[in-house]
Amino acid sequence: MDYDAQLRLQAFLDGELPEAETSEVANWVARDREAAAQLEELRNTGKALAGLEAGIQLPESREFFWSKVRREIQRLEMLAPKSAPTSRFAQWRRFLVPASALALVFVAGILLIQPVGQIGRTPAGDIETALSDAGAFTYRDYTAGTTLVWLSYPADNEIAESDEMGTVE
Amino acid sequence: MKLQAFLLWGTDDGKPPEGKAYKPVQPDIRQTLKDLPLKWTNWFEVNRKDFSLAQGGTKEVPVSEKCKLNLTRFIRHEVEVTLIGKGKEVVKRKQSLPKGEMLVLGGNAPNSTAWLVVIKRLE
Amino acid sequence: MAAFEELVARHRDKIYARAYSMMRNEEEAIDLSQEAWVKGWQRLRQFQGESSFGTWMTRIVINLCLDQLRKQKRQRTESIEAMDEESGGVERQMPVITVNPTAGLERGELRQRIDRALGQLSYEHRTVLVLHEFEEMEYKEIAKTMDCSIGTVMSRLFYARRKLAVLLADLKKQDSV
Repeated sequence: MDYDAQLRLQAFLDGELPEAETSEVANWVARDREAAAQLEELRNTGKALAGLEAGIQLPESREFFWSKVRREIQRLEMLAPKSAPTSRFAQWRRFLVPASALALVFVAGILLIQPVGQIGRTPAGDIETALSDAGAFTYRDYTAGTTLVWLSYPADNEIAESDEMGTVE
Repeated sequence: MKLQAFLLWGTDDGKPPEGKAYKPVQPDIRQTLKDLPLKWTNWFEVNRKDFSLAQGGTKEVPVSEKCKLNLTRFIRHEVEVTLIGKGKEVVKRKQSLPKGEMLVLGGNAPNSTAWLVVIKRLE
Repeated sequence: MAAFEELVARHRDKIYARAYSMMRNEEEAIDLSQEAWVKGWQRLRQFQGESSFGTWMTRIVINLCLDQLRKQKRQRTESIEAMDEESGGVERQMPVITVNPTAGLERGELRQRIDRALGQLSYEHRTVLVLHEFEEMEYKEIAKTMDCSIGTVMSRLFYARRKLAVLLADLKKQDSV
């Protein structure tokens, strides 16, 4: 297998291949044992790495580590030149930032609740378009890996009337 | 990418509506819903679909007689989810869905209950 | 600042873990994650919420680690092995590892092995691996972060993965003897 082919396999695994090439490579892997073995090896490496960082903990107590951070922040703030008075908007915005951080303290795992209703960007680069719902909002819990999009779309009685149960595929 | 889609019904009653054999949601989903800012205390599974989504592929997944999901998979873990209700697009969302991640779409239902469509990535 | 302390408490392990993955040195990782928090405080008003706070902080610590690694590289004498890695070609000849070298391992044991194996990669290869596997960056983004071409990213990533597979297989052999 030449080097370009190996890199193509890697790109296939990583979802970095142009769409047109993806099925071509998939077919090649299905036919070629060497390619399949190489892909499997790359995949196994990825699996081995998964979750590696989850068990790593900072080997200093919360209080000690924070005391160092705080001391350094205070030291730098004492050294910083006093800035010129900012605009009223900038002053108001400065208040908002600590306030939003404060909200984080009280509501575990929440990073942002913001209304959507038009095309817009939500946290983490997600794109959401609530096409006909101006009352929708998004809630994201990054710790739990859950996103809630609450719509004002009424379900009327379709749930109560639904008789479907079961699994497809 | 292996996914599950659930249609859930939320209520403060301890049981599903008369004549409906909805079972309580599975424990992991119940735990996740507990951590969300939703007021309902009980969740029942109305429907469930297991399906796969190939890279670059699109899938239509009906979750009820009047509602369906259209899902398109992009590179890495990116998935675009469109909820269609009564033939109209209600919401479209594109986000990363790594393994274990859940997307929950929801709204109010009659008699102070709620509906949820939960999409969970299994693999 | 009480609110910021809470953020530090909540995310400190994640930030430290990322620094440690890149630096492979506990002391350096602690120092750099501390520096990242100080920078995070200074830049807090710039945080627009366009990503999660954890992701934003992780990017700060990654950039600090990269700066530090580049500084260290300038000071270090290149070993022949490292130059070999850089010039490439070795990974193309390594035989494919057909048996999963991590199969049947306890989580702790696996973590130790990977730790040892990662420590043996050069910083460029380890960084590409960390940015791709843990930070889940696309090739394009990694190239921008590391200031290199996408082709270089792909080569380094391939080398890193193959080398890791070989190292893990070797460690398994050693440990079973």
